[in-house]
Amino acid sequence: MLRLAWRNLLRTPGRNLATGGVVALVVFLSLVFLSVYAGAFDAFFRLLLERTGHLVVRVESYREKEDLEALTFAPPALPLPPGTQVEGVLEGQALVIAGERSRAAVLTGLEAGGLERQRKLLKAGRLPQASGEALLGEALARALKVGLGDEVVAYAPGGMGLGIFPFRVVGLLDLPETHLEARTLVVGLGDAQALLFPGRVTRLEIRLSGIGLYDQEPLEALKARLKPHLEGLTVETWLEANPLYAALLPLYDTVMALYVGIFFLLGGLILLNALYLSLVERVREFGLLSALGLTGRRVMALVFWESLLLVGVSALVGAGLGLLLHLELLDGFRLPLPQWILEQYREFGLPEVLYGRLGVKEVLLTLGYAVGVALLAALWPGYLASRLEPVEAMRYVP
Amino acid sequence: MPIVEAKGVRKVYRGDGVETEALRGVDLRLEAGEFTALVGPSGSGKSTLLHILAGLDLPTEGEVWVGGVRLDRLSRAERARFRLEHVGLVFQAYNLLPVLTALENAAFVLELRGLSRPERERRAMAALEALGLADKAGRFPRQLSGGEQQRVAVARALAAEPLLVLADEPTANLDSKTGLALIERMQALNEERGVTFLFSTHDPRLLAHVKRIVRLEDGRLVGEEWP
Ligand SMILES: Nc1ncnc2c1ncn2[C@@H]1O[C@H](COP(=O)(O)OP(=O)(O)OP(=O)(O)O)[C@@H](O)[C@H]1O
Ligand SMILES: [Mg+2]
Repeated sequence: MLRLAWRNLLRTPGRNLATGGVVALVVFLSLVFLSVYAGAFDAFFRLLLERTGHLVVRVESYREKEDLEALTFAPPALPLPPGTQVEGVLEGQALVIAGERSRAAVLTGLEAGGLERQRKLLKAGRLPQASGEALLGEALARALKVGLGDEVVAYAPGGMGLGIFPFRVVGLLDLPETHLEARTLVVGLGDAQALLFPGRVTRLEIRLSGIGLYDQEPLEALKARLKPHLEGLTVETWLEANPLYAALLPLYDTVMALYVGIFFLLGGLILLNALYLSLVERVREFGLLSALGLTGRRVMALVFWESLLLVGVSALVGAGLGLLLHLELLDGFRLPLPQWILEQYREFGLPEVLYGRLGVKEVLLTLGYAVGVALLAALWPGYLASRLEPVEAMRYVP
Repeated sequence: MPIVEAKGVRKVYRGDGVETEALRGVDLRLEAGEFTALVGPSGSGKSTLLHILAGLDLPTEGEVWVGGVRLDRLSRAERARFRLEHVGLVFQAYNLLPVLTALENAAFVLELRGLSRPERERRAMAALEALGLADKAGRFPRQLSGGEQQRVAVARALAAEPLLVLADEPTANLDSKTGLALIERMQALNEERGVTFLFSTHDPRLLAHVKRIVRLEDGRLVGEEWP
């Protein structure tokens, strides 16, 4: 039966080569698409993780609180596994004054590691190295008409700190969102505490090493271990801290399945057409098979075998080529998009070089679609073939 | 017990508002080892009768017994299985699968029955030899003459060792000499191995070789001869 199916395919090599080519192309494109898509997705979430840290400690129900005093806390001693980094961040409102101009801004005090992460955003100048040095959003600097080396004064009365602090602008930041850029002042944590609240932070960022990007289990485990040490405080994973983006995560699978499904739908229609044509051309032969004693079910099986063989061989070729290209993407690639789209991309803070990712899940999804399409496309022609009346079919004139 | 017994078989074709009564009450018995020709003018119902005896089609009325089984009571799939196991079929043309060699075609029914490859090829080869086609076993149908193709079809029926072989005008597409040669082969198989044949034909010269002639006219059996 398999041999018969195979020889029947070889009979119209041109058409089956074209159909197989389409199937191979669909499998190929689907794998490449998935690799690129996962790469872009990972880049986006890695960025989010980097900004947030694996775990974030803040005061309880911080989302409802506004007052700086209620939002800050003295960092408690935490039992952390070795290799874990903890950084305090103090964030508060401040008025930034330069000569006769002033602007409301968000002052962020960062430890050394946090400042280091600003390097990628640095448009001009350098990172603060000593007390009294600050980074200014480029748009804020423009609004205040200050540049590198100029002095600004941060004014934030009402806290337990000095309430006023002079800074020298040593660097300008280019942020994805301009409205944030116009409100950004980044300084060392010590300076921020002196100005706003000595000894306190608004959040602790905990970064672990050696865990996978979407690996939530070790985070949950650590969360549970920290809980008893956090009176009046709450700890969230990076995904919990970014609920809007976290909601995108389950969409990944849906979008992936949908896009690949559309590819395969087109491939499936072409396959259906080829199978249908070969049925019409061979009505007499199907009649003979039935006359010789093939039951409808076995006639249908023959059509299914032909479809599966054609798709199987083509899918293997397509998958081979797709995996080869994926190996290239694995080492990093630039999105082949026009400059203006890339511009928006960069605005968002996404890296220009992405790294392809293909998991077993993605490969299985693609091959599963291929098999599914082979079966689905064979369903109708197979049914028609199985219903042929042998006598009529053998009399059929194509 | 007869191999074939048709009792009061009627067949009415309905289609496009026209009713054609192809068979009007046919009674026919065939015993094992018969070599019978079915003759009659065009449109007399020969093909219709052969199809019904093979279980390819159902009678509108009447009973059809083959090998002790009542065919007209079987489902479509059961009739297909019955043909596979017990009936050899030879048609006027398009008997062979073009993608299979003569040997594979001759072995095809056995393959469908699930016989092992060596076993079915042994039997198919023996059948091809009996029809004088041993040297053409590896050829595809397009590389065979019309007569050779028909002999491969007979070899396929022979290899399957059926209860009976039904052939609908097996010689119609052959010149008279080749047609005669085919009938002589069939006759030899009948005499040497006892294979039961029922075939329809238009060619009166073939009738000299048969044991029995059944004459059909306008859907009725109108006479029998035992030459
Ligand atoms: N599928 C069908 N639908 C309608 N009428 C049919 C059908 N098949 C056969 N007939 C009619 O039934 C009658 C008998 O046809 P059948 O094919 O059995 O004749 P036949 O004896 O085999 O003729 P021939 O020698 O030309 O092959 C004819 O009148 C024919 O027109
Ligand atoms: Mg006929």
